[in-house]
Amino acid sequence: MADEYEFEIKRKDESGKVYYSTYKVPKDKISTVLEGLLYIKENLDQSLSFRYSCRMEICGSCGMEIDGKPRMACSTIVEDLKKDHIKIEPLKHYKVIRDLVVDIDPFFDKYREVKPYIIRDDDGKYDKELPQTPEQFHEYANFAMCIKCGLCMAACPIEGSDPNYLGPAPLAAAWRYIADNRDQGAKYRVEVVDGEEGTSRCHFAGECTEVCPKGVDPSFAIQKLRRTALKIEIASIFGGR
Amino acid sequence: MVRQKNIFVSGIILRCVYLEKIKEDVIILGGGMAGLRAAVAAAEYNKNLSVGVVSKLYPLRSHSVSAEGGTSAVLNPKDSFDLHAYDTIKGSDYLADQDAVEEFVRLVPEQIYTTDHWGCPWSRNPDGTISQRDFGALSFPRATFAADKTGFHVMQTLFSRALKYDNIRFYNEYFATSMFIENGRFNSLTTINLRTGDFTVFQGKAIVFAAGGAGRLYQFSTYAHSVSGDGDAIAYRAGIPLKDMEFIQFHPTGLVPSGILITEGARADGGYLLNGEKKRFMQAYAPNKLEKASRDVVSRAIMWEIEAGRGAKGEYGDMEYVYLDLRHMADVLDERLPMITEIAKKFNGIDAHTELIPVHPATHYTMGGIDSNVKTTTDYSGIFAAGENACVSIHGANRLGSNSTNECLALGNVAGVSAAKYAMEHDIPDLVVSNVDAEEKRIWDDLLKRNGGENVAKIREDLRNNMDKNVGIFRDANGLNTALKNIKSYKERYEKISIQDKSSTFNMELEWALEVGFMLDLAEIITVGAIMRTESRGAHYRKDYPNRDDENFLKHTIATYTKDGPKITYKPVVITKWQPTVRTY
Amino acid sequence: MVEVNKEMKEGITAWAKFYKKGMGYFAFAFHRLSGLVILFYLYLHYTVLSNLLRGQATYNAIVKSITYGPYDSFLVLDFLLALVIFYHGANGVRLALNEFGIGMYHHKALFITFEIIAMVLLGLFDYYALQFVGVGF
Repeated sequence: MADEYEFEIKRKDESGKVYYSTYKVPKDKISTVLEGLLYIKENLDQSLSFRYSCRMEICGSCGMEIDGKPRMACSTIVEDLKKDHIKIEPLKHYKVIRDLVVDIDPFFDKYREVKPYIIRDDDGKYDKELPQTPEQFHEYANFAMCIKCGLCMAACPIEGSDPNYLGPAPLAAAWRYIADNRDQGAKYRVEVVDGEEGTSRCHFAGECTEVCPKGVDPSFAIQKLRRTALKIEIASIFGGR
Repeated sequence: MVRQKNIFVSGIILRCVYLEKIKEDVIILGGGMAGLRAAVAAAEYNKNLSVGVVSKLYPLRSHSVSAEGGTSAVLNPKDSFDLHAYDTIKGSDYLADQDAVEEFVRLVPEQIYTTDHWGCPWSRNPDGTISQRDFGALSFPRATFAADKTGFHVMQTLFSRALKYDNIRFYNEYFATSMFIENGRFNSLTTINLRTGDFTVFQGKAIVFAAGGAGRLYQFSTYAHSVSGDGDAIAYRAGIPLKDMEFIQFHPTGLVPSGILITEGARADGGYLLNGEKKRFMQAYAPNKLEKASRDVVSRAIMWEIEAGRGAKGEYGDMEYVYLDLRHMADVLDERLPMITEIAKKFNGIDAHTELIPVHPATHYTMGGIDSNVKTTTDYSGIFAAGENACVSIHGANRLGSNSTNECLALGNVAGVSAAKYAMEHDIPDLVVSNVDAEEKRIWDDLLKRNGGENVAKIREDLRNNMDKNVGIFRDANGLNTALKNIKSYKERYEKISIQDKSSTFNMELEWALEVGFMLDLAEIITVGAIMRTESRGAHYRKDYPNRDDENFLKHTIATYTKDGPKITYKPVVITKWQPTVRTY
Repeated sequence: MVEVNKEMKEGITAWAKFYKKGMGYFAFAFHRLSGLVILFYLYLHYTVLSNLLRGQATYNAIVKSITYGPYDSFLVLDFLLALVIFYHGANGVRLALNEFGIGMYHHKALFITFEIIAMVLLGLFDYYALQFVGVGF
């Protein structure tokens, strides 16, 4: 094994030209991919651009395709890849702005579509907490861990063929709020997520769950959403809700 | 960078300076917890007001998401506001303004319930009520928490809630460069749209500064890379004084070697600190509270141990460290501290259930900030400040663990409402174009055209190492003077930087260069303040003046901008019920 | 709906990229491919059936040519078709169950179980089919 890593990075400059740059990074100076990128930026090539912030896998900035799989640069330990030559590309299914920076706005637009907030009739009275037992919390706990990094959107094969599809993270967010016992907005949310661009588009490849750095299970949430949508629709036929 | 745009008028190309102007009623600088809370408050106050959140990141990328432990609030009838206020003031080493603290603690509980109604998953008791945990230097377990991801969950809640309002607009990845005050009033904010490189001017009726602290002045830090003190520096350069900047909090347990935060909750729930000999040592420094003493005390204790040669060393380069022991509480780790077990595993390959975690004190909070008060107003009308960016002062010389997120929520709310009220009564002032032109020239004709061969990143690295070494936990006259001399030399080097990246889209290097400019200013203020404060108080510890000096220094340091560096004056501390006494834990 | 940028679009070629993908992805991709094969067969089937319109004798001759020669090599394809249908059917049942929320926690185990059952059934089918056409064991 050499004492240097080779980072092969897919670049895109202002004029739209796409090319690959390869950098040599000493192994003893870095541990994570993000540290490698910062090393390159500080010492080798000032023109490399990428997003980063918290370096502890909680802010969701530094998603990129590392070694052929969407991952967070900050929490990917280079040694664990067991390779000296590491290929880094921007996330798939997003428009590339420059180098590893992608336009993540469509993702947040979709997130907003699913009404990701508690909807209550008594909104505005905040004098006491709303009761919720630990068991009720565990109903949605997993889906509340989403850091909105958008890796799942890059992994989802349907996102690749149909960019209108809401996608794993927004749908998981919809389920997170429906499953919260404090929420009363399931019927409004189901209107959005049920249908051709919503849950019906999911064909359960489960890649979203595979790549999620925080262990969120969007594919599970989507199946749950389908069931809920069905229930609400059947209930509405019989005049309920 | 895009500065000129070609405008085609019937075949003739007119090259003209292109200036993009955006008008919003209320401008929020910063998309973190205080910023989002202010945005929601302002948008809720009046649905016709337009609120613009200007941030150099996407809101959810802000450092607030990294907050772990909890947020203090008096919810239990056995607890009392006075007790919370007293803990805070004692923690501050009596430098807090006591009237502000008393008002502040009364604002907090409502915010906990509000965020609960908005969906924040506060950890619960089995009966469904909000649960509270113990925290460092609290006399009652009043830290409300959401596992050990408090900041993350509150941020998700606030951001999601903000999406509900049509009158909030997000300006993501707009890097603020300067702010202008005209006739004692907020005039405009200049930014660079990172995505296009356009120079963009924000005009508004009111502005809320909520851009966070300045912790990345230090190398070993729990802060996100993006916390470079932009808000403080922009306000300072515009003429707003900064208060108590020399007080920088060091968190006792930053993970070695990355500096990632290991929450204080780990010690509050019963974790031990062990020195290199694997023995507990807090008995000697805080006989009553032990590991649960306030952060400045524990941080110093760790450093004393290391200086006495009882630190552990070896695995992580030259850095000496101590251990955090959670092995005896392995059964509660997954429920109460899931994130730090995950972090130890992911970043260090350590299983916290069976192994010791290496920790070292790391920069964690900037007690100082824009000189403001509990009404969040500043010396200038239309300018408000909240969160870590502001210095109210609630935290005085040392912030109590669990007192930052609640400040962001409570005072963020106050700032949002105040800004909205102000905006209702005023119009957008006319833009003073000469100011904006000068700022544009500073960036495009000066900064981008400098060509002395200096690397911005190298200056930044030297600055951080300098701050770590000389303006760290232990300070003395020699070290501080060396630090000041070094900072002056970095400023000279900064004059000779070369920005290699000439691209207009997402020019990170230009962003770095502007940040380093801000950081140099702030480093100077911190160091000068520390030199002049010849006493030890809270987080500011002078080895050559190890005692607190209430006679001469029971007062706030105020730094005002002048061309030749900061002008330091002092301002009295407000004392109401609690007279300064000896502070022991 | 949100504004969509065509540059993002990767298209169905993504189905063929199995590099570093999980089991669910294989299930998904082969489900779609097998679906296409079944669709193709359906049209083929209709084409053959539509020969009935040309009279009994013609139709019988075509069926005979496929079953006893000279085009009896088509029978081999029938076995492949059976494989595809059994795979698709088994996975389809699993997906339907999952969509009703049944067995979600063990969907991978469910996939393996259903496919094993399907392949056992396929083996039985193949055995009797071969006996029917007279290969015999």
